[in-house]
Amino acid sequence: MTTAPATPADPAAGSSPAPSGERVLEVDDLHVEFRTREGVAKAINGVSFTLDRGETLAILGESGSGKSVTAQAIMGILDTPPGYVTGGKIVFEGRDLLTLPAKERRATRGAGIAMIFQDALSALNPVFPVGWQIAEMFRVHRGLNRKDAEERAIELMERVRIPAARQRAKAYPHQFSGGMRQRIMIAMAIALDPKVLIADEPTTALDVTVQAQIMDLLHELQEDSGMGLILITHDLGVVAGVAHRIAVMYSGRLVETAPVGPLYADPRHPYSIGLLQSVPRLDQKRDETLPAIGGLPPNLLAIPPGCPFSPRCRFVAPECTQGDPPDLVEVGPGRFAACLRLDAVAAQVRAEGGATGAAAPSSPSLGANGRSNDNDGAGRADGSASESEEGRS
Amino acid sequence: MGKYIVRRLLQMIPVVLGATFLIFAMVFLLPGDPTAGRCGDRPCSPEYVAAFKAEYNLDKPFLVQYALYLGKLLQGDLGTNYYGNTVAHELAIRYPTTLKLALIALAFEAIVGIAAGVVAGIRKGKFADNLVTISTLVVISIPVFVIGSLAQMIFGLKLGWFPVTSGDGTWAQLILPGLVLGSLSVAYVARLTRTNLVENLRADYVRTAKAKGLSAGRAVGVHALRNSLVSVITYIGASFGSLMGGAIVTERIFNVNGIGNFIWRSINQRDGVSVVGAVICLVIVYLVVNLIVDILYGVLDPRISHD
Repeated sequence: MTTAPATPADPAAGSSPAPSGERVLEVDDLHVEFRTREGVAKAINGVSFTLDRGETLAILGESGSGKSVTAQAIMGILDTPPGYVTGGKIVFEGRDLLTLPAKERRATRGAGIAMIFQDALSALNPVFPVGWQIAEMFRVHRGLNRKDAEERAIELMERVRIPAARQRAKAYPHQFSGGMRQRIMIAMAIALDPKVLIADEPTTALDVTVQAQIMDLLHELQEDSGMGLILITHDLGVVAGVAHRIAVMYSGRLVETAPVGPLYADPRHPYSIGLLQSVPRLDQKRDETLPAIGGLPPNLLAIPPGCPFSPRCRFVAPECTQGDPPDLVEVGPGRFAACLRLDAVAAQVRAEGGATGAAAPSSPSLGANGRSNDNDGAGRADGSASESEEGRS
Repeated sequence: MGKYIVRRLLQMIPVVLGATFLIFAMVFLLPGDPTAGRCGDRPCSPEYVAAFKAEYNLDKPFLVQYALYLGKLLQGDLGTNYYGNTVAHELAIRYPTTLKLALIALAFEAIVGIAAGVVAGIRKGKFADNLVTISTLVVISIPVFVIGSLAQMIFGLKLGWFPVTSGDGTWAQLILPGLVLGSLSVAYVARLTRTNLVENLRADYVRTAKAKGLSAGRAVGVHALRNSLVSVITYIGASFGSLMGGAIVTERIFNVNGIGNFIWRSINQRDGVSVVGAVICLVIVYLVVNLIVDILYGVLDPRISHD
């Protein structure tokens, strides 16, 4: 499998500054499997990508595609057993994390590479105050005493715009609203200025207005610190406004990587095409059925031969169901796709009316448009949210 | 919180009153004659029986007896038993022994139970886990009088490590009875700790703790264990309430001069005043310990609010 080279951000990719080109993370031919009673589930089958300083890479895929497992493998928090990294390299700051001694690897966790999780309520410890939980980063990694560490925690809470941070630091996770809890998660993750932040579906558990606020916050923090951001999501709308580059995952493989603009305008892999066609649009006719990708992702215990997407692919040909899965091939500047029938697919899509119908990245819902308005809205919403919380506590 | 405690204390009043009534009724209905055996081999003279019954109000109807008893109880008087000793005195000389016994059992169940549960939970499915699971099952399955008698025979008689009986109620004499008394709770505490820990080790916040770069010891020992112990400590607290009174069998086996033994003897001697007084004390102790446990629960788990 080829390693997708880092690409400079497409100018159309959003308002983020172009990544500097300084490589912070390189994942090379990563393999992960889960050894279960039913058999070996091959969750990640040769994933390679890179991340530059200041770059946002969105990893897109449906449930079971391996996007969260990829994140956990990078963090080194796979549950072992049953999960095992069986091959590949994860190079961070010039060192392969997979061969580091456990102690050194632990030191990079949280400090070098940090992660925020989908459901902040269960990801935060229910019996410790949030300030304490943030302060723990400074106490464990930096050896700060309790008082100094909690002072730093309050600064961080202010930085992620939690109102009345000093008082709220003593509150417990259940006393916060969902958006505020995710802010606390973020504060904890950025505490030690990590070079890489992995956000595993950070907004999935939140309602739509709060989603926008959280994405804005992440974007702003990234601009301040220049960290690389890996955004794991299945939400095309979340990705559009913030990502520089998108990697589409299917069945534990990358099937297409591209700068965000070209991918939305002209997806090449049949799976990407299907994903974008299934996004509801405002200009769609009411009685029109939303296109969907039929079928289910393959059982990871028994991935079919050939292209893993072939059973669901409407462009499938006999050669797709034999031999090894196709490798990523370059299909344009900084663009790679793993499909045997790229030309035939492109021709057929053109014949059907050309574009997938997916609009330019700025229009599918969130993010890019109206950032300053969002911020104002954030202030108001946060204020009222915390008022209601005061009443509860 | 203050309001909550006051409300709980007020709720105790009907519970204690109801308990006194039930206990009094049961003792009243108990067959047997309290004057039996008081006059040597001969039956007591009718004059003596009449005088005895008059002294202890036994000649009056049940409800009148109860009202008279309650009246004295409200003045803090637990009454005088048939041997002329105040029940309060009888309890006061025995409570320290029972308390010592309960504390030994409590320390045993807390230290050994939690330690065994943590080891089993961390090594789930391994030898240590199976050892703890099976040995606790054995302890739970065997009645306490069997464990007590076996322990007395093996550690007291054969090996001679501990005194066989407890005459004066010194700490050393109470160790073996305390371990026997705590054995059942040890098994429950170990299992409860293990189950909670296994469940919490899979929790998302433990994954977060690892992602924060904490050591495995800190992720388990601080983050997972703290959550696991909420219900364990609650259980230990509640079991302390029953240890304070439920030691009748153990106290009998080791002849410990505590409350349990006193209740057993008083029942045998139809000494109703002593039985009622002792049991009311136990009820109050149990209620107070439970209140403390409930308050503690709110302290340990901030999600529980008493407001």
